[in-house]
Amino acid sequence: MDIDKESLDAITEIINIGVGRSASLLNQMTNSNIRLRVPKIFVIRFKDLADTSASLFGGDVLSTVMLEFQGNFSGVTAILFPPESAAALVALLSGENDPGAEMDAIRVETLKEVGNIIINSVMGSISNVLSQHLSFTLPVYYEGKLSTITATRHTIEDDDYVIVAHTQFLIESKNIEGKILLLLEVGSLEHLVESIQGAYI
Amino acid sequence: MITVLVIDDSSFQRKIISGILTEGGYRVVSAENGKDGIDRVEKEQPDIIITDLLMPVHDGYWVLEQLKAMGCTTPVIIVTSDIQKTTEKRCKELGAAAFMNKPVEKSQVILTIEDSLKRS
Amino acid sequence: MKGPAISAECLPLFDQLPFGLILLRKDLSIRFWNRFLEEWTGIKKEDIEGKNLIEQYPGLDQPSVIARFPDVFEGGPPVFLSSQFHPHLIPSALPDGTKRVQKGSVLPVCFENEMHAILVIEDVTDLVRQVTAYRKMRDIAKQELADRKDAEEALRIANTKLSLFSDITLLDIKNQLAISMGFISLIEKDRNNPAAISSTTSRIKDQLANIEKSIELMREYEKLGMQPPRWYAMDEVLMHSSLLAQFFKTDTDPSIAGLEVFSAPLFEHVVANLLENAQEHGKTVTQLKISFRIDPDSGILSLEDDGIGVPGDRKRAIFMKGYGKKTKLGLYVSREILAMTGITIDETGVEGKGARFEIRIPEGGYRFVPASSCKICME
Repeated sequence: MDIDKESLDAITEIINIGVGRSASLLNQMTNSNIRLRVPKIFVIRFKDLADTSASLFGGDVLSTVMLEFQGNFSGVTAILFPPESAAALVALLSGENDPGAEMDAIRVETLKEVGNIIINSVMGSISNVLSQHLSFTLPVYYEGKLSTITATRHTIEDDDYVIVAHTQFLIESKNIEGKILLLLEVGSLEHLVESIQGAYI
Repeated sequence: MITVLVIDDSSFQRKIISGILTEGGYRVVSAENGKDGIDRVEKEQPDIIITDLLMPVHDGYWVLEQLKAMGCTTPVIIVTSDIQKTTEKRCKELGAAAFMNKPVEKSQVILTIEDSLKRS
Repeated sequence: MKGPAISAECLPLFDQLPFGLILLRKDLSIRFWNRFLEEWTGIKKEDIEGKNLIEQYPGLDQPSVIARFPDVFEGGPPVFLSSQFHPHLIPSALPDGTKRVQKGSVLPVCFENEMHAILVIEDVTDLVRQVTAYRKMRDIAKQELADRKDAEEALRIANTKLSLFSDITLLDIKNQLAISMGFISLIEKDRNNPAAISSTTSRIKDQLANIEKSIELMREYEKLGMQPPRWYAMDEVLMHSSLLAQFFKTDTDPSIAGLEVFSAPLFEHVVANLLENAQEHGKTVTQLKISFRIDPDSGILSLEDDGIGVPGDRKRAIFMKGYGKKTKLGLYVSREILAMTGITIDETGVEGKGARFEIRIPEGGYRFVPASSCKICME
């Protein structure tokens, strides 16, 4: 499926609305303004994800929070943080002075909650547009390279679509980077685009 | 006929808002970014401006600052997915007449325009 | 309906689960309170079911909790509540009196044909304690490692300097030996001239005395490699350095009272060197004033005499290697010793009015101790 600019813009808007909602919640949790940056969004096939992962994610160990969803529209949503952003985010939110500290069990939980807030806001925004029920799993945390993380998802196929939204936000002048990944089963992307267009136009 | 300038980097969003406005009987001109938007202000002299906040290179804050520097009194409505109270406060401090969160509803857009024009 | 469905038959099962579980209606009233929560809180289900969760536990009424519930009732994704932000969701005490640390999850569920939410609360007290203890141990180990590295680096620097200073002194000793050998040759050539022999012998004695001083100096240098930097009380330093230099015309300003300086070993010798220089080169020195003042990011110890001062074209040269007599520390070595703890020294006096040596000590390298232990104040 070739995705035209308008459809890509539509998906961008939906994700922006979700990110905006989560920023509001994080604002209240940190008592700091969250300065959002324009997200970069693109759509690729899952089989091409491995080729682009080095440029997208630098091949580093990534801190990932993800959940699966099912319904008329199925897939996996994940937010991936490079190690520095994960550590900086956790340090900021927990008031710790050691942004270089390792991700122990408590810090993992903190990141899991933040990831949960962001993913839920994005999925909430998508669900509103779809006006359909989706069922979700509890969020899980993984640490590893993207290839290791996606290898655990046995339901993903090569022709499935991946929407990648590279988000950046500033909290108290600290630059936090995260990439939101939506892995959609075949047919789901078309369904999503049609639903968005139908909801608004 | 009232002319509304819509500034948004999203073609999808420009289409939605333009559709609402055209249906509401307004004349719509649009711009893809902040710089283009300011150029259109000078050229088209719109009665009201609706601008996105988060745009690459020149964002909505920049548009507000430029309009202030130009001494432009055209009411500006911010439409954004950033729903933080701190963001709204900053926009109002920079002179925004109104602040709307996405996704916008038709009735909300029309009401906000009418209200902003009345108060200007 | 937007979630998995459960029936009333599931409720007894919830009483068997090893964690807290609350079944909530959309208006946040408690439909079911499980046995684990009864044990944790001492509140029986019959006393709390039907009541509003937020009224019972106002601590949950915060945006990071309550604002996230509505989406769950709409069948949205589950909510995760970490122990970092919500350590005491349903406050309860452990047998030792400490508060139980919890984490939670909120999941949508359809019950009696209406959307409800299940709030699951797990006890993570032990995990948090273990992680906290581990962090403490790790921080201690990190600090010890850092301290050890600092000490090793300080020792490495000291040994480098020791080696350098020893080389300088050994060269001096060699030169003095060569001079002595030269004088011995003179004696051999002029054996029949007792007056000349006596004069030359005296000069040889001087050289030997210088060699002895140089050897003493080398022994002092060894301290650089063996002792770490420490705090030096200025009143004691001035006392010892006056003795070393045999210079007793110092005038100590009250600003010195209680001052301590963090320096590498031989700090007293550095100060003694400055006093010796005043005596030897100042010509008309009647007094040497010692004072201290604080700049924005450092403290400045000033030694100022009323002698002839240092000529402008020599102000930098005096600190260079090889300048001056070798039987004492010298300004080059003094500067190197001070640099080991980040201290700098410069000559800032006016020629004709007197020499002024300013020793600039970085913040953290000086401190003041209480007046009761200050000997200067007591004089």
